[in-house]
Amino acid sequence: MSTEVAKQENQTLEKVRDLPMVSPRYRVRNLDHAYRIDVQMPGVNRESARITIEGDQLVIEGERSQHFADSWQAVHREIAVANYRLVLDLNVQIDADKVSARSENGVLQVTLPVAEAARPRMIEVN
Amino acid sequence: MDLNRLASFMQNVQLKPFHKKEETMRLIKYDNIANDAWSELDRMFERAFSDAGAWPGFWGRRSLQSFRLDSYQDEANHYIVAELPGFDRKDIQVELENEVLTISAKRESEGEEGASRESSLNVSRSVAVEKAIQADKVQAKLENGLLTVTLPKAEERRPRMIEVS
Repeated sequence: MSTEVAKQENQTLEKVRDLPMVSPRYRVRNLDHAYRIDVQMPGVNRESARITIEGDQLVIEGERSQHFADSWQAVHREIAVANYRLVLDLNVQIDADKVSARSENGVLQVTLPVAEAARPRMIEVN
Repeated sequence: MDLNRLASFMQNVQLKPFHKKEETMRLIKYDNIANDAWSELDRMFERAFSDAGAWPGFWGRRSLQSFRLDSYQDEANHYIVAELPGFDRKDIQVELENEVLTISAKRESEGEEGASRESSLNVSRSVAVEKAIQADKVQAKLENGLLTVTLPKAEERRPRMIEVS
């Protein structure tokens, strides 16, 4: 029994990995002491988006649910059947604990606060 | 030209038009040849030929931008699925007239700093649909930036089993 469950889990993992990855469109905005990245990932809901910060690398992944039923017959197709993956190298130190994200209408908004140590500082001249 | 030099050349070229904004420091290093050997070519290609789903103001034109859509059918319905990330339900208009389905979406500026150049974005696409659909029963649903329009086929166009007597 238990081996069977494990096997199934492996299968779904394989399936996810088999889907090609496409790089989503994104835009970076400057906020006060933070950056905001808007990533366009249509078809990805809140639960299937994953944000990882490892060292100075930010990885945003989105697993897309199938946008058509199996019984539908395709007439014309432009939308790729693929998952999203965006890897960005961060130049600036980020406060990883305070990273926040929200998802709305297929756009994932990630706010990356700049770490205290990396913020610009005024130095007084005596 | 060796690839490294090509890569740095391309980076320099691209940084100008798209990063005019007065950024104090750059958050993100570009994908480079060390990360991904094809990234530069991919980017050139994307920027040159693709306008689907482009960010507002990307090309400096507002109405030509478009979005991707799929079309499907089964026995009972026709389906149109369109990618409209970032659009709210109330920003999207679906219209059926003379067997032409038009999906248009409009987004106003987000009212944030640096948004002045991208005051609004209009996208629109029209698809010819089959004559025999029940126009009063067309439904549209928006979920995670994907719009699905369901157009029920007219009763007389559905496949039907004929009994042999």
